[in-house]
Amino acid sequence: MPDVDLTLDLFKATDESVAARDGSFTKVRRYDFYLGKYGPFTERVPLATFDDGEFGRRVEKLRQHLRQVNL
Amino acid sequence: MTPFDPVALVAMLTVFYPIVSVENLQRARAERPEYFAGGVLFGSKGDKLRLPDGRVFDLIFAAGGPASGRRWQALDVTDDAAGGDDPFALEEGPLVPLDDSAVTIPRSDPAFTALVAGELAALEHDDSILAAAAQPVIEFTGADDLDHAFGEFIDPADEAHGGTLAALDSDPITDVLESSAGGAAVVDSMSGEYTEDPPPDTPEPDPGDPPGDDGGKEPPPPI
Repeated sequence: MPDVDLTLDLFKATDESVAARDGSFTKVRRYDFYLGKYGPFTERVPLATFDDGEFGRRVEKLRQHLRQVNL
Repeated sequence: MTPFDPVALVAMLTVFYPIVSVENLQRARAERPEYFAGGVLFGSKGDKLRLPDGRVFDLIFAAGGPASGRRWQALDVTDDAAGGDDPFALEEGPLVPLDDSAVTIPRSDPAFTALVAGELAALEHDDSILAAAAQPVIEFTGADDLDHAFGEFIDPADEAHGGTLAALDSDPITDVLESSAGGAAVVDSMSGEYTEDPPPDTPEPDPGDPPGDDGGKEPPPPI
């Protein structure tokens, strides 16, 4: 059985502020993307502790789940 | 608004919220609202998602069971009345659907026709009774009495009223005005300059002598 197409299609990446209930704001980088035919997915990575690999790790976890679903 | 993809929603929930519970579902709804496409959580357990287009999804399998048996899902239950769990469900009313088995279908029994004909035959001789009851209505003589009373009371009153009107017509208001026309000349003669001598002035009363240095006199005794 061929692998399902889970190619990352990142169509938007923007910085924004997210309001918390206590009135504070957290600056985040928002990623909007597709994994093959699935999505859109939306993930936010805090900029205060920004890690370049965080977004990639999240994408890989989602891919693993989608592969299991398509087995 | 973000399109809704149930596969993406389940993937997100499974990866980032491994503990399946309504609390985590609500947390995901708050932290990652885009996956829910503007839908709202509802239901007796809070595990249903209603999208703006009306579709309903059950997001937790065995939500009422033990935690070990739960798992994330996105099962479309829009057409499932039980799964819909309408928060605005109507109360049971007094009307219920008819039970087809309880409906009696009318029979085409000729005996019924004969039965009705027999009942009508028994009433056939009652026509004379009805005719006799209607006769007093037909022979009503109250109209003559009414005409007699009208001639006795209404006609004389009408004639008296006509006489009163004729008397008023024969006494026109112009005659009344003409008879009072001389009054204006009298009024005019009285509105001229007053030429009579005025009456004499009334004399002032004598106040008496003023009191002297000798202490004055005793006042007059009271009358």
